Amino acid sequence: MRAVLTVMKKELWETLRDPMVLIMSLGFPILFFPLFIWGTTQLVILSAGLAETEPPRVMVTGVEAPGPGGVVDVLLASPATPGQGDVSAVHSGDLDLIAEVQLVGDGLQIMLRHNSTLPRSTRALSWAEEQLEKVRSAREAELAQLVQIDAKALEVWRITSVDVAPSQQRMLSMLAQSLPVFLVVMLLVATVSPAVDIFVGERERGTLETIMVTTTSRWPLILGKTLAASAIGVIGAAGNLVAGGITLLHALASMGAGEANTLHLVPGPMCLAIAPLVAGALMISAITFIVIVPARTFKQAQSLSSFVTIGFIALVFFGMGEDTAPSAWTALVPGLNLMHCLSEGFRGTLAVDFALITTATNLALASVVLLAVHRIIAHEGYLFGPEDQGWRDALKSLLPQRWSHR
Amino acid sequence: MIQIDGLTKRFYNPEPVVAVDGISFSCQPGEIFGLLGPNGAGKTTTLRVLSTLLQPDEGTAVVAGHNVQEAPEAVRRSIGFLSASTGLYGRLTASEMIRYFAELQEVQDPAGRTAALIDRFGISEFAHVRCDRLSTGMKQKVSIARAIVHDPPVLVFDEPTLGLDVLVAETLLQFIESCRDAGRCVLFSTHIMREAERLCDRIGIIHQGRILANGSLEELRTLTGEHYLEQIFIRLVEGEA
Repeated sequence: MRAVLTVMKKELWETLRDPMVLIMSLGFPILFFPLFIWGTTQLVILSAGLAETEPPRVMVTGVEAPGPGGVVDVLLASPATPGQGDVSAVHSGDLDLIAEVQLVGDGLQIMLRHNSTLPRSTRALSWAEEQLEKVRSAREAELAQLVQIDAKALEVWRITSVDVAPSQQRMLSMLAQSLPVFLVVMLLVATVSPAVDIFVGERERGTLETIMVTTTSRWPLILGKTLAASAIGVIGAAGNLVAGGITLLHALASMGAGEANTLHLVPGPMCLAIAPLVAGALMISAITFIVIVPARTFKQAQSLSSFVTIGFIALVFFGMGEDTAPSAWTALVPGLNLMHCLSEGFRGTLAVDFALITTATNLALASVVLLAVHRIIAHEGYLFGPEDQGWRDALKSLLPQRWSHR
Repeated sequence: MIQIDGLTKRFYNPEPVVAVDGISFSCQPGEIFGLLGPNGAGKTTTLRVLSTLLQPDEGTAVVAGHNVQEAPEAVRRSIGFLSASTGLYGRLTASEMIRYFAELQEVQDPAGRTAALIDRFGISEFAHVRCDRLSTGMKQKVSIARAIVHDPPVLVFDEPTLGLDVLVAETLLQFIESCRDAGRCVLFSTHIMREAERLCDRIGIIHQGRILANGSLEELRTLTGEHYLEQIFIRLVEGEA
């Protein structure tokens, strides 16, 4: 145990002196939310500014039976700018909207052709729909007056949706959907980067041989390194969470302090999510180690570690689907179970058994992987094998000894 | 202190290559034994087997009374290993580096031992400087301090002067001599004949994994009828061919 702590302490000390690891594992997770929120706010401000300054460019085609005050007039009224072109102009962004007005029987059919990939076109569509709704309401009122009935009687139905969820719950739900994704990704980023440095760095710096001839056996070395990489990952994720929380509270305060804009997190489930988070960091470190074990250089290891990052991110995004709600089987899927634990923790509904299964699954996976890592690095091919045969040596070392010998 | 009998080591790449072929020699306390041979002769492989980094295929190797296969941890406790490719942790200071190895080697008083070694090698001024900012000479001193931090009775040096300038190499050679004077058993591999002539009490000429001759410089001179080690070496290798 003392040797494990010695190795862990040294790895932490050494890794945290690397500016690159500091930026990736601590700087990036901590600065992510403030920068993200600031950037989004700037985009919204910019977009609103554009909306105010630049009128939609609209082209109206077809005919309309009634005279002035109708659809065509409204669509071409200020602030719209009459435009020219066809659908290709909407594609290219030279035109924001084409309104095709056709008489169908006694009524009108209006087709609004827009480009949803262009913000200007989307804004033009919203503006046109709003204007047309006003015309429709005005015409209904005129018609009702003509036949001398209440205008509301002409409405076949009116759909109004009302969200009955309290605003705090809506806020928590939104957080539970978005924050865990960021948190898992940050845990991943903050763990993988130091894991690569801690593991392959020994070989790159030529210290592997010297450490292998000390009296300390290989287990304390592996465990110390795993704990160090995981600790940095957890610190990075915690920093991300704290920075995210402060940013969010600041944003809520700027929206106006009120009961609707306050957060009421339930401490119990939040704390319960810490165990799976720590186990998840251990699991990510272990998997990173085994994926980069064939690497002979730092560059090779970095390339291989990107598979870990991509794999976990894929699992996390898979977990965002509706078919993958927390269940007995999702608790057994690494990455996915972690995200569900965090998500349920934010919602305040994390069940103890789900958290325990997730923690146990991640710890079990980390243990199995570390056993394999131990076996690989005990193999002499790992230390002195040819540079281009890392994979072959790693696979051979996992075979029974009488086969792996050759 | 070191006893090797019929040691054989093969590598598979994928065809078997015999790196060390049934070699035998011994080295006693207060003695420097030199393994002399060209690149690829099997020197490094032999030293790696002795330091438990590689497992022998045949034969036995005993260090300080411990068999390298049966008691590798006891062997590691008894040896200090230094090779030309030995690196340092660049982001640790010299003091932190030595202390880290003192703790890994389970030294009783790591802080005290670190301070003593820093004092002995005259690196107090640089003790708190990161290793990647040290000069080559200072780095070598830190490497030596790291290798002997647990005060081992056996020292294994694998081409330790490779790539060093004359002054730094001289410091190292003087240190190796002082180890012999202190009664340590020193196994030293090199392909530089001058170093072997100067340092070694006994020399083993190794070529293509086999020891061609083994004895003191005088014994080798008598055996081959040549005076200089270069000529002795060439005569033995040609005789082998």
